[in-house]
Amino acid sequence: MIDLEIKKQPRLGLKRVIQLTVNGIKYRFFRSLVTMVVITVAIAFLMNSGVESLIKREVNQYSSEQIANERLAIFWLAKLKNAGTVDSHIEELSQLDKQSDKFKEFMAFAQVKDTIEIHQEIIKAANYLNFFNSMNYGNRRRLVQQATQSRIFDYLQPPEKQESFFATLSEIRSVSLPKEEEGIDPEESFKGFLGSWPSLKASIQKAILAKEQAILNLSQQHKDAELLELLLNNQGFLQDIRNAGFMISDADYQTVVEQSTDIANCRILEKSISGLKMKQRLASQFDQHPKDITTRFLWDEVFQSNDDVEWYITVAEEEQVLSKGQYTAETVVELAESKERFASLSESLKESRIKNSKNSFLGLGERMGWLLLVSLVVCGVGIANAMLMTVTERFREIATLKCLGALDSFIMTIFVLEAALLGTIGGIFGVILGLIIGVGRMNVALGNVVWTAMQPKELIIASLIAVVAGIVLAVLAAIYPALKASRLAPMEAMRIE
Amino acid sequence: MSKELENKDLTNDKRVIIRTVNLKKEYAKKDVVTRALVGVDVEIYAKEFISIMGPSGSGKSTFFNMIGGLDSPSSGRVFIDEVDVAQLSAPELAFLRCRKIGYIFQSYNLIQYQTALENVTTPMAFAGVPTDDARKRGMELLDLVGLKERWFHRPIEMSGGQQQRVAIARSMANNPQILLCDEPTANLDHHTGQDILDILERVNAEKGVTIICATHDYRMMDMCDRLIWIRDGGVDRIASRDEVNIQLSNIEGEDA
Ligand SMILES: Nc1ncnc2c1ncn2[C@@H]1O[C@H](COP(=O)(O)OP(=O)(O)O)[C@@H](O)[C@H]1O
Ligand SMILES: [Mg+2]
Repeated sequence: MIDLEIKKQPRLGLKRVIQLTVNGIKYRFFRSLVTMVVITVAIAFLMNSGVESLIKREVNQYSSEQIANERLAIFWLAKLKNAGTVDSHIEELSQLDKQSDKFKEFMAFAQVKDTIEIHQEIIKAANYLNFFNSMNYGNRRRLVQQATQSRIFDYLQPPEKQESFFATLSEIRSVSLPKEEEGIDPEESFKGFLGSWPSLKASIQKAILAKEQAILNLSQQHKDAELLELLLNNQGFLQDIRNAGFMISDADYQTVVEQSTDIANCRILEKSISGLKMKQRLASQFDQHPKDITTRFLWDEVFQSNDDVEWYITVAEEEQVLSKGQYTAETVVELAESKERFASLSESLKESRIKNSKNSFLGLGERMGWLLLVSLVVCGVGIANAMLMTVTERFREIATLKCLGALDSFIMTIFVLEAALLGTIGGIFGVILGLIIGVGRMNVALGNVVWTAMQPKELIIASLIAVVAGIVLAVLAAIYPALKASRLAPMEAMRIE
Repeated sequence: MSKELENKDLTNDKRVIIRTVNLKKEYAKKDVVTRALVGVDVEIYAKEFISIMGPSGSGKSTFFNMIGGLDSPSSGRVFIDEVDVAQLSAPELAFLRCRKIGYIFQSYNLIQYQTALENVTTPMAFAGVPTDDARKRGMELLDLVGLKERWFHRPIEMSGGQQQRVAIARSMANNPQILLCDEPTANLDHHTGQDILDILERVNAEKGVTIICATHDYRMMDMCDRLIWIRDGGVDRIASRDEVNIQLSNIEGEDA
């Protein structure tokens, strides 16, 4: 009863495959551990770069918003004193939405109607300014000589200057004009912009003149009274500002008034130590040289604890530099705290600034984008190497399994499954590690603002991407050697060693 | 024994189970070409016990790999039960290796991370046997080779002889019709080697499995039906056991 009818081999159940794979990993535990550690480290590196870039970007955005908010009073104080320049207008207006109050205010001062067109022109101007500013000094000198900022556009008005500009530009390989519109030659769009520059400049200058007039009217109306005083004490001032043509919302005005109070209070407190008497008393109390008693010392050392502030207030009232009951210890400490918060926000902003963050990879900055790319490659090579080793050292086992009737697809499956498993575990550990190191490092570098600015949603997405990257890289790295091994005849596989 | 006679009735049913036609194998490594087989034509009958003898390097293992479907010949053909092995697809080859042929190697080739029982049941899993049935049959097979008590041991915890016995149990997992052995006793001492030979003889006699055994072991002469001598990659001589025994006694007689 010999029966040698040959059929196709059935496929193995998934449960059995997983069981075999896990058994294999367990047996070669050390080897698998090493592979996993490689994946962990690679993913941790990737995750770390990603997390740091993300946090930097978030902190940058958060602190610049916060600072803009905290400086609303200062902004308005400056605005009501100084009408600004053409350059400052271009910079400020290019950041604004064309529906915003500030932009509408500008339109009113400039007396222009076509919002869309002027908005586009301003953004173009800002981009071209950015282009000239990011150029190195030598190149700029060759292109536009001594001209800077918007004077570059003035300099380029005569046709012969334009001609030599474009001729020189084509010689400099490392520099090319930004592309403004799809399908339009960058050179043509720049020429077009230069053509419309005089009218744009005229509009901006018209707005500046109108503003100067408005400021002058305001100050004459209030007989040259100090702005801060007016903000704090004159109920009708809001209406006066609006009548002059400035646009400010009620909420913003409220904030400006509050912040002005703080500014005024700070001034009074700082003024209180201008006399020699106060300086001496502070010096003896805090064991310092009178020369070292500065406003900075006041904020950083004295106004830190309630006890010290109470002592200070008593002394100041004795010396009659502060009127009685004008300040409580709480208000002063609060003021010091908000000053400190502002300082740390500025510090965070400075530290988190990313160069060239516009139009580069994920807005993460060119250098960071590069680093990510490099770490991705390092990661891939590391995992590929580890997986290659794992597969090659198992050629004998593969050959044996094939002698026992394993299908090629089964051999593929166990390796891909093993890679996916190691990739998942290594990926998860790597993400945790990268997250901890990244957040920790950023916390040290940027301060506690990291915790408020951080957006969990973005970090979770980044984590998921990193884990998937780990799995995909591990599987990709395992596919080639596994495919090669599974296609071989058993004895050929056994021979490779 | 009536059962033995019934199973090993070679005279009545001389059915060819393996046939090779002008089988050649060359190994090319850079410029050096090794001609491992130079044209082998043999016919092996069902239920036979064949010994393949020859000096080391004569091509025994190469022949073994060719007829087992483990490697492809440079030219020539291998027919297993009149099926041309070269015509089989990869899944069909897997099926053949899984159920029709059992392999026993000189170096055992057990899966290191599996227990004795798991090693024996792996081919059954490939054949689609349910786990419980596989375990039951695995234990029976381990019992057959005398290792029932050691089913949970891993290869590193066992001696060479024990490992080879597990390998035999494994090779029998799916009731193959052919058992291919490549020097199964070469790594074992005299006594342990005898155990292995006894098991093989029993398997051949009781289950009627065709056994083809490449070997150096002269004890094999006593139990095989036919001997194939291989020399320099070709068949030197084929002889039945009776002829060999006569020769042997002649030599002994002359010596005496
Ligand atoms: N993979 C290989 N590459 C090159 N030559 C080989 C290879 N395998 C075997 N050979 C050569 O083929 C011949 C036969 O080898 P083999 O079949 O292993 O002999 P045996 O098993 O009888 O000792 C030997 O000369 C050996 O060197
Ligand atoms: Mg050999």
